[in-house]
Amino acid sequence: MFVLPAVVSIDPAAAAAMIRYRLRRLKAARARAAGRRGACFPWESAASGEDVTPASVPLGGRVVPVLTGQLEEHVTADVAWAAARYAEWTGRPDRLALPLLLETAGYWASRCHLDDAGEAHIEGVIGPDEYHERVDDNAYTNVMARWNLRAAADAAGRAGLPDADSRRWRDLAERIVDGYDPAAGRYEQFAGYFGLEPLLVADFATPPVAADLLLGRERVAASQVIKQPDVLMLHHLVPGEVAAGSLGPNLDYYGPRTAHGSSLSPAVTASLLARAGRPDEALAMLRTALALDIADLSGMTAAGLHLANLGGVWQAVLAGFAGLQVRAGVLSIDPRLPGAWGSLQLRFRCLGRRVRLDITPERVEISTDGPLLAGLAGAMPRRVAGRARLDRRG
Amino acid sequence: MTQVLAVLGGGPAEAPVIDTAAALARIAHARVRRVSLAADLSAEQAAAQVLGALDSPGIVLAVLARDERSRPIWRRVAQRSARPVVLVPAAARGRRPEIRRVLLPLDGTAESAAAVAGAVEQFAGAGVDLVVLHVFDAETVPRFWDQAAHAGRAWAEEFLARYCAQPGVRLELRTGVAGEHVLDVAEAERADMIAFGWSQQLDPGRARTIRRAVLDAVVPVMLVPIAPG
Repeated sequence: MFVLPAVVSIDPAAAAAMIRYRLRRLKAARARAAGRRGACFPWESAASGEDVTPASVPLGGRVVPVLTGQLEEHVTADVAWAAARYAEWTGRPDRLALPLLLETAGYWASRCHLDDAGEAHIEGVIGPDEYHERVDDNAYTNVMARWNLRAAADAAGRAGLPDADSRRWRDLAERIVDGYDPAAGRYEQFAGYFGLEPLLVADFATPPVAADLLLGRERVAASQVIKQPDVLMLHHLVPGEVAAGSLGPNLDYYGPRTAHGSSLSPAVTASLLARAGRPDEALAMLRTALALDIADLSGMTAAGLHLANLGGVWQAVLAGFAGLQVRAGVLSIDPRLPGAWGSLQLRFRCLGRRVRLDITPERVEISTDGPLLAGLAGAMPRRVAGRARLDRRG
Repeated sequence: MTQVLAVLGGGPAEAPVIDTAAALARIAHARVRRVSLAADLSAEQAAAQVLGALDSPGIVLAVLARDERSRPIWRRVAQRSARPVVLVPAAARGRRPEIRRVLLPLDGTAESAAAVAGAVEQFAGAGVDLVVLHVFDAETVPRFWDQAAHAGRAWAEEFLARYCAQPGVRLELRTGVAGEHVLDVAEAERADMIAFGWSQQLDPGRARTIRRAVLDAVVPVMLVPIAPG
């Protein structure tokens, strides 16, 4: 979710190695799904592919159980998403991604629980916001599972596989609840979240802050304070799976509740703010992410750089400020530059090409080392080779 | 030879003062020098006598009783001494005379860490078990804490590397008001002494943690002056 999308635009071969790492550990992931079908990837994975998340940690004079290894199941959909992102961004066939998509979809199909009304639920999980544990119908987990089922069905269709599973997956995807309230334009982060203490981060600290350390795990869990984007990660990763126009209302609602106590949070938030048309706010958040290791904001950079944050920063620049997307073999560009930036120049790889973009408020110029379908968002894409100027007319 | 000053003024804490001075002398490879305060001295005169003795060559620290009767004396000495002062409560009677474990509350500033660095080195060299306590509050709580199982270890290693780089030192983390945790952790850890670096300010609103520890601790409290910046 953080590193691979950056790496695939810098060194696609390294990204392929990351996908192969998961493929080689499918057997362990199948074993981990014990009692269910498909593959369930571990929260922390090392050489064997078995989960290596510590079971407990001493904190504040107590031994605190660590539940992420058992309950942060969205990682299974995240692995599938990374594989699909690799395939999409490189423009290569699903060969690497297909087994991961199918196996993970198989897991979600057996993980979902249908109620009497025929709605599908996923109970007892931890979402990206790790302040709330063992929650039901976490919007992020449910929508990512839904995306996973649909993506696998699409991939199976492209591969000409029998469509019995695909039909079942598509049907189940339609049934998964996501907590969306069309009237408010908001997703409820999990069942019961809106009923928690309506505490805002500004009430007790200036973010970023490790709210769980400051207030205590129990107090934070009883409140609406969250560690990092959870619902909003959906707008970042799978914008096609969330309701159109819901980014703004969810940013407005969850932003003041987000402590950014995860080093992953500022960069993703910067990307989201840029996409929401608030690039100056996005730049302030990006600066926090950029300073994280350079200024040792975490107090532990000596133990190692925060690579996922670095990947997030690169994503914020590419996907957030430059508005890059690759869909169906087309590079789409939709810049949102902060007022402080006179221009933005980027070099990256996509669709098998080396690409350079020169973006100013007035124009977008693209240079490639080979033919590439590209265009500004909303305009007809065109085949570019060498250097070209893109405009809204296509 | 270096000397540890044992300040005797009568009262219930006299025996623990002698025991504590002896224990510290063993750690410092020093001998104990006793100074008796005459009963008819004013607090100012008694403090002046102790401070004069502390200025003598070879004296590394002073050990004083911390009881209500001697309060005006130890306050003056602690606030004016350029050397560490150890305050021994009368309640320390009956506790083991050895110093096997020391609790070091560190606030995460270079100044307080530097103040106790010399004492820490001596304790570590003598095989004393060192437990560092750091208490997070709204000003000092980390901004980021990713996965608790890993963040805690990485943060602790970095904190100790910066502020107490001795092998075998353990870090205890708490959240809240430091003064509310020091004594609890000292008790839980069965610490024989608490050692602080301090700015020698006991005015209202200053050094709340140290004042509370000094007044309520049942173990000796070492106060090491922070060198003027």
